[in-house]
Amino acid sequence: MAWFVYIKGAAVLVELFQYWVIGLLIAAALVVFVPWEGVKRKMGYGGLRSTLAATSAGAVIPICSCGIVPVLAGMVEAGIPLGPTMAFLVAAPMLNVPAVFITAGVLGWRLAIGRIIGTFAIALSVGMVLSYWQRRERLLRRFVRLSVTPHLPPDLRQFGFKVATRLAGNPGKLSTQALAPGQEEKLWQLGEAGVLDRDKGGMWFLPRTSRLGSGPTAACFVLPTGDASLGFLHGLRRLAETAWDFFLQLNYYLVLAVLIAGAIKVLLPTQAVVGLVGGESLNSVTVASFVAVLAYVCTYVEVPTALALIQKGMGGGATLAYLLGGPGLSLPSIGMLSGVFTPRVLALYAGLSFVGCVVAGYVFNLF
Amino acid sequence: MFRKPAGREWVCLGLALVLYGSAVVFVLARGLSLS
Repeated sequence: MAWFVYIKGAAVLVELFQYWVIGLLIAAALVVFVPWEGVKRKMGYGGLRSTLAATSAGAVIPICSCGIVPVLAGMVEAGIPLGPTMAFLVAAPMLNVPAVFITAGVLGWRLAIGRIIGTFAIALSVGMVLSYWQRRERLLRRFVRLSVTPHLPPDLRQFGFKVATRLAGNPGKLSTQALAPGQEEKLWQLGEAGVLDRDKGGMWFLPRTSRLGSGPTAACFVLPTGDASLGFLHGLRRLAETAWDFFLQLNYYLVLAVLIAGAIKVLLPTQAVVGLVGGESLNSVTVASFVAVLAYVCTYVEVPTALALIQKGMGGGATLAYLLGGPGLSLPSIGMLSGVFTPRVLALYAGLSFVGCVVAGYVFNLF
Repeated sequence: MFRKPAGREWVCLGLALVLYGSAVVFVLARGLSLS
């Protein structure tokens, strides 16, 4: 049994490794080349406009649910607000230009148009709910940019992020006891790296920060950058280093996802499912969404598998739910995302997307 | 400078390599036996 899971998992890894690498490179490019401060200042907490922009960007970019995780890690690291990030996460694997044409060619234009409308509806609602939620939660953080040397180990970088978030608020200076009790050594290490400084009274403060805003539209983030203007070659080198860094950080979740996918392939027989997704009832739509979440369906694979299910009697709405949920939401990718988001955000994302798929399928059946 | 993996990262890197390596071996073995 375990042996089969292992073999299937290895097969999945071979299938998705290329997308994984592409995703890592895109993520690194996003972190290194995009002027995030400007983007962030425009986005704020992410209203309708920035969520719509993120959704459209996701809808055009052909990236699979397995390749998206590193990209998201890059976006989160760069401090993009939760709403647009999540809208991008939903839209990117569910929809892309080639997939629309494949869907239209194989399954007909009705389903292709349903897919476009469904994706935008789900991504926008997920993005807006999360934006609203983030604003209501009052995650009021100062917008502080820290200059950290790229050699800073990740745990120290994370610690620096935590400390800086606290220091960025009032009063701006804190003693070791108030800032991080019992972790003075780590504070000193950050001091040596130039992230923190200490005055004569033993109070820690942030020496080189650029406060770009102080209103509620701000957030704290740590950019592993030392200088803003990079030459092209230098930039490429930094890109490779950042991609490698992401690779090391996310490897655990890749292995986890691959093993989950392998286990599902062994444990979930397609034959047993086919009988449940026929007809046009709400029941069949729900089952199709559920199957889509459990099964690991990479972008472009969903159309042929959907065709196979249609030939066995799957209804129109159930097909749409499967097309949306299959590439968009899957247990392995949720496993990978747990490395990037908190469980609450993840549950909100998964729940909203699932409900969105069911509703889209049900509405499709009404027409 | 490329960062060196630390602690758990070594283990995960090893696991991923083993998985990938064995997959390549499976594919090769099947290809050889088919031809």
